[in-house]
Amino acid sequence: MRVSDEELMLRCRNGDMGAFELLVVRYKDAILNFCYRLLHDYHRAEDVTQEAFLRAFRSADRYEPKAKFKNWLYLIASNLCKNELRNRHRHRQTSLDAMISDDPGGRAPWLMDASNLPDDLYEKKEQQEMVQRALDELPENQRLALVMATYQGLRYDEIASVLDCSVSAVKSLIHRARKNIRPLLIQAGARGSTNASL
Amino acid sequence: MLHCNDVQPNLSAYLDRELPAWKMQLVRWHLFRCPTCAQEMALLQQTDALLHRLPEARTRPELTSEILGQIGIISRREECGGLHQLWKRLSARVAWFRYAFRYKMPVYVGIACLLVLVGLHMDRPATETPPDQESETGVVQVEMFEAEPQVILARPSRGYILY
Repeated sequence: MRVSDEELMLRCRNGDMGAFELLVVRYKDAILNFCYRLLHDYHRAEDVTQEAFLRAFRSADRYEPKAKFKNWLYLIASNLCKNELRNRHRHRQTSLDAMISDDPGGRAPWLMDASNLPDDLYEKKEQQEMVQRALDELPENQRLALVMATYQGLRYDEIASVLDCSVSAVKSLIHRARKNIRPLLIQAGARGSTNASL
Repeated sequence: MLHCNDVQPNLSAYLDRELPAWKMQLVRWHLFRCPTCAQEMALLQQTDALLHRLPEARTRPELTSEILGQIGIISRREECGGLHQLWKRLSARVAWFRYAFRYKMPVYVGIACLLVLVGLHMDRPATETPPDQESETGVVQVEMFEAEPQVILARPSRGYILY
């Protein structure tokens, strides 16, 4: 029988490290993906994921089981990502991943799909870069909502609790994000591959 | 019956199956009949399909142990609470001294300099006493209008005479 996240967090509050380990195993992939979609830098995404879990552990004493653990963890991660993006904007950092994106071996190796042929892999990677670039162009809140809905599979009410807004606001954010990203995808060149569709 | 203006803002939620069942049904019926909204829906679906081309980032197997290692360090630090508290108190005191040295020391030095200057100014003699009127013992003899000479004690350093 699967123990709920909230129960595990309560156990962790009472000093059970094994309970927190289980939570890390459950959510590390999701949080890493979430951070990667927002930051577009695998190594920074890993750092932010680590920091999010550390913060969750440090604030275990203050955790109230009325809030869903998943939403709380996403809230911590999204705040960290926002800070990271603001710092990056302030210092005009360029991610290492973006700098070495021309080098197929330079990218984080865990992002590669080894089952593809080299030509297909290259084309697929180009398309992925275009989509990611278009995603990066979206306003912060729209990007957050779209990433949570599309890639993380969060429900609108869960997104609303992470973004601290109403469900109808989330609905509107996601709709606007999808409408705004369409011209950005075309602009980024994704139309070349899907000219029939867009 | 729904109008296009009511349907189009709900198309994204329809795509994500986030509408209540009755509204899902109404939107579905509308999409069957309205080519404009159906086209809009198709565009949204294609955008969504493009977005799904991004691959999932796979975590390194070591990430879990790294996170747990960090957490172990924190909890060990909290376990030896006495030492940790002492270290925190010490570092706070050091920080205070550093602050005082940087920001308060110049103020203190300035005030001390000002006090020394004021003291020196007050110690300066107002008028100079002629040296021939002073004896070695500090007793000064003054003749006034041919009267009997008076013995007056005076402070030679100050340069004024008490009558």
